[in-house]
Amino acid sequence: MAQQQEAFAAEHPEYNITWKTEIVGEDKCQEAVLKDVGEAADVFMFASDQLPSLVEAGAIARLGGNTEAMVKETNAESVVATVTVDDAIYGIPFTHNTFFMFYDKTILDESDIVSLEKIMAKQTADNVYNFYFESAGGWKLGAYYYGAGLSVFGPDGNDLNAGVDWNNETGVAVTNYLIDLINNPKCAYDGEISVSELAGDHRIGAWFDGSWNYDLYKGILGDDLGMAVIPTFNPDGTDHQLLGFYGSKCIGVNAKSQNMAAAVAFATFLGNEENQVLRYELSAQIPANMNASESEAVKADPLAAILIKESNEASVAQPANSVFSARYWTYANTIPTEIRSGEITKDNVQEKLDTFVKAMTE
Amino acid sequence: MGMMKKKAQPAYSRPGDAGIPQAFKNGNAITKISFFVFGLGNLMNRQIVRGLIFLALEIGYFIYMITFGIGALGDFITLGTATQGEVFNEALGIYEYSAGDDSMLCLLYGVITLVLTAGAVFIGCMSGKSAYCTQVRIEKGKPLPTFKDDLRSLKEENLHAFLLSFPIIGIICFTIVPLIFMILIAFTSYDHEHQPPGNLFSWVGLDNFKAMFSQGSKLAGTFWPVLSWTLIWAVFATVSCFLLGMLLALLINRKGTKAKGFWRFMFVLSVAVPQFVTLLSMRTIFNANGPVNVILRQLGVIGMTESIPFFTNPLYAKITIICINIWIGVPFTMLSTTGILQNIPADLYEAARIDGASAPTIFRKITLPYMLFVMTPNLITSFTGNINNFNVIFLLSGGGPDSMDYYYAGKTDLLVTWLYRLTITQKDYNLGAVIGILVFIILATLSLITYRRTGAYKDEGAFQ
Repeated sequence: MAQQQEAFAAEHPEYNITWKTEIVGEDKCQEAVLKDVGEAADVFMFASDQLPSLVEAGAIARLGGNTEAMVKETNAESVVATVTVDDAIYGIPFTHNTFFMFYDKTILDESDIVSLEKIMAKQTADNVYNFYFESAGGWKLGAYYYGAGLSVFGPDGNDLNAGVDWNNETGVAVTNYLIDLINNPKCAYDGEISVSELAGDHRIGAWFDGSWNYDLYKGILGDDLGMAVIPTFNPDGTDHQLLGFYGSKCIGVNAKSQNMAAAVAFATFLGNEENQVLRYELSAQIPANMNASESEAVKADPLAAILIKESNEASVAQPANSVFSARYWTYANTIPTEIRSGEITKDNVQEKLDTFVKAMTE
Repeated sequence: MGMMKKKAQPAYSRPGDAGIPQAFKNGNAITKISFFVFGLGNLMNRQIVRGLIFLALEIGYFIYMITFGIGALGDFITLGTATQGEVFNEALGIYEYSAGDDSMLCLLYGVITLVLTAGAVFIGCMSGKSAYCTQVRIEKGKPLPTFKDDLRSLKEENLHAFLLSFPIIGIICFTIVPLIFMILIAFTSYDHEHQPPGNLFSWVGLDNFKAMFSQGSKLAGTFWPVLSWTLIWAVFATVSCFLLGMLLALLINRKGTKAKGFWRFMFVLSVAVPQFVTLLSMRTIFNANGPVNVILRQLGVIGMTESIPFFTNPLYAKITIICINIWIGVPFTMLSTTGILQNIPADLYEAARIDGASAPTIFRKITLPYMLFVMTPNLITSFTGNINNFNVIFLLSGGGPDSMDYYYAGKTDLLVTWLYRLTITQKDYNLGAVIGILVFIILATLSLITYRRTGAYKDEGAFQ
């Protein structure tokens, strides 16, 4: 970061900048900024799912002119969509934010990892979990319902009148599938045990996670670590590809910034091609910028390959509207929680899903 | 005698002795004007410094009001009218934002202005009283205190006012003003959809309270179950710790028990570990893959990858939490009850034994009443403490398992942890304020009623 700040200052001698850098995880950015917008950083990095609430609070500035053009020209359409609210662009995407599947090659082989059924059916030692089910606050849970063709607020996630169709026949089938999966003793459950601990003992077959934990698992498993696109599953007699939520991590500018021009210029600088390449070299964040991701180094990277494959084949744009973000995370996450606690059983799936849909739409 | 003396000769040596209505009624014209032109009565009678201080305070107040305060009061009533504006600057190619009104600041400055106004009214009364006091002294031909005398009096007869003024100012600034601010939020629409600075919120009257109690609404469907679990938890947590702590103390205090000091030491050891450390390690111990489940697996009680849902099943979670709380709370009760037990006169027991009373009778007729007499106020405080026992719930279960039937709450959430979620994660500050007010009302009524019924309150000084 300091390196980038110096480079920017060298490029723009007209600005007299006092740098102040604060480290906040992209997932917590919204919280930090909304605490006091006037006092928050001029330029901040955030995960695109927080965009609606930042826009709603008037905390993030719309981007126009060259910056807007740069975002539109250098990113894939699906990536641009993650930083767009009502046709206005608010952020500069710099890396992909989605998850894919890691697996332990000593437990599962390439023929197993194509479907969840095969993963679960694999004969493994008594104390080995074949699969790690994680809801991640609903983020990874969505893959099952979206995979089966269901959606929240219509296919593009912005049509509030479309409602939520998770309580139809397919939704019931998916939920029944999840009940079996979560209650299966060979499936470890979200947060009850750490993946890295299990992986260290070769006790976990496959799990979903993102590129940010790649180094951790690589360090534990070394060459035994496999990576694949998330598998298919079969809740109702047909194989469906699981579809993970896709978002981006991006750079935004505080709407209350005192030096808007400088802040926008710096954000643009941070998000440009060279700095995305630099960020890839220094911290292995796969560039969202299309030119940057075309570079030889990125192309040769297996992690980048899988991430891009996942984005193309097994992901769905994460809905970005404030109603979705206010409700989905809490209520969707109660589905696996209640399955785990025994509140949702095969007898009351319909009723519970009706409650869920009502909570999402009322 | 002292009281009589004071009443017999009203010496108006200090302004504090005259009531405000009295001063206003009996005062002459100058005194009356002094209520509005601060310090006039003092200035006219050569108490220049005192008069100037009053006058300066008034001028300061009016300058504040004219430059800022009146606008702030206007904003306080509307809570802001202008939303943030967005303008595209062609030349720079950026969007620029004009600052709109910030409802939160409008509310805050409004409260501060109101408090300052109350302060000005108070100073006005002080000024009137001071003028009246001077008037009476002149009428009686007594010498007028100079400013030096006033300063000296702060060290002597007005020492209490001098010493108390600092804490009182502190309490007003840091407790009363924020408290008024928070209470007022309960009557606004300051929720996740109305976040300043981008959006304005407004006054909604009692709507939030209505939503909390209206039949069939999601909020009411959360409030009542959460409230009932809060009360169940508070009763169980308090009673279990009290009874078990007392039993333990009795056991150790029994005549036949050897090495009493050692046993007490053993049980008090758990107090030496900070509470949050105990709670966090308990959370790990009872985790689905924690030591307890692992041991049960090794023993073959449950399958190799099965687990007992200590924190994930609502009923199990509630029981687990109450049990863990016993572990934390019992040593404290044991310590305090031991002190009380040792304080019960031995001759009472001897007399009872001579009369042929059995051990249970002695416990019921002597030990328990004695304990309850001393411990009831303590029980009430621990009950109220448990209603607001944020630590235990938050660190053990985090309020979970979450429920989709509730409005952003879990099955083991207390009102106070629900309040935390509503404000910190959900940003529904208005609902948080409503819950805060309701918790206060519940606690205040419960504890006042029970406290007034205790032996300790009704019969202060008596023992049985």
